[in-house]
Amino acid sequence: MTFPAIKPNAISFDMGRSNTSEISTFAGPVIFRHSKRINGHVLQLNYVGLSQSQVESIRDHYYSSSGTHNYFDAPTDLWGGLRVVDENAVYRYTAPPEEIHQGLYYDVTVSLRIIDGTTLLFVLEGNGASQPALANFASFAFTGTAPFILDCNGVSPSATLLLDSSGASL
Amino acid sequence: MATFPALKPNSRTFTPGQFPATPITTLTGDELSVRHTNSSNSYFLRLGFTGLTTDQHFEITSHYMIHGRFQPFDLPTEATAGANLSFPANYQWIYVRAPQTQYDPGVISVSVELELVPPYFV
Repeated sequence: MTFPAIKPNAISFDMGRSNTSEISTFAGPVIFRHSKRINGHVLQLNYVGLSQSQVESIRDHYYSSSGTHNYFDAPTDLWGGLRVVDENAVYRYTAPPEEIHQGLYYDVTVSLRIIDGTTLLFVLEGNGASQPALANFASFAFTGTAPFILDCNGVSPSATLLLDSSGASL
Repeated sequence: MATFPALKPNSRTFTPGQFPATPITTLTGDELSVRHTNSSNSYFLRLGFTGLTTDQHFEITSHYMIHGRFQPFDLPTEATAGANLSFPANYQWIYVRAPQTQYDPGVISVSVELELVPPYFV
């Protein structure tokens, strides 16, 4: 169940933590990385002047999420255009929302924990690249001494492959 | 037990209840949660009363003196008027702490913090 699409008046957050553990040695700390996950961001949403129906939608969402138990996704609008976590990140409540009743309107503070934030994967993007024509050959004789430079100047996009056989032996 | 005095608060803060669960972090970084019960608890309600008369102030303080932190009680509809709050059946309220009174000349203000608890018998 997605968090209600109500834009907060202000947000604050931290940047989470990597999935590491640390031990102390006489030579200084040794840090183990267990996976490439970064999560545990805490996002605080501050709402001012919500209507009755809006505060009830947040309250109902909290109850339907079994409080801090179930996870859910949230609209990216909550971040106000900031790119901090993946669009597919999932959230949990860290604590019950706090409602301040102001007569006709309500001020609400919501604290969310991101339990699947960012995975450290490198994505190679070859924007607009196309494969140039290929020339088949069974063998290619290099003459001279290393390093050899295979220069592909003139192809689009430009690419240069450097073949360095320094230290190689048959 | 005696219902809380039927006074309309001037300010109110509500914190919904929690569902007991234990978070577990796995080696892969997944954050799991084990829920222990279907019941919820730890609902909190903070009420502020401003401009009370001495009789109204005495209603609150005497109610606290009778119940203390020990005896649960019900809330009148005045305390939650307009907020459309709903609570688990048969739950009752207890004081989190003693009501706090501020007495400026001519103006008595009282802050009351309550917690909703599952039913039990005393």
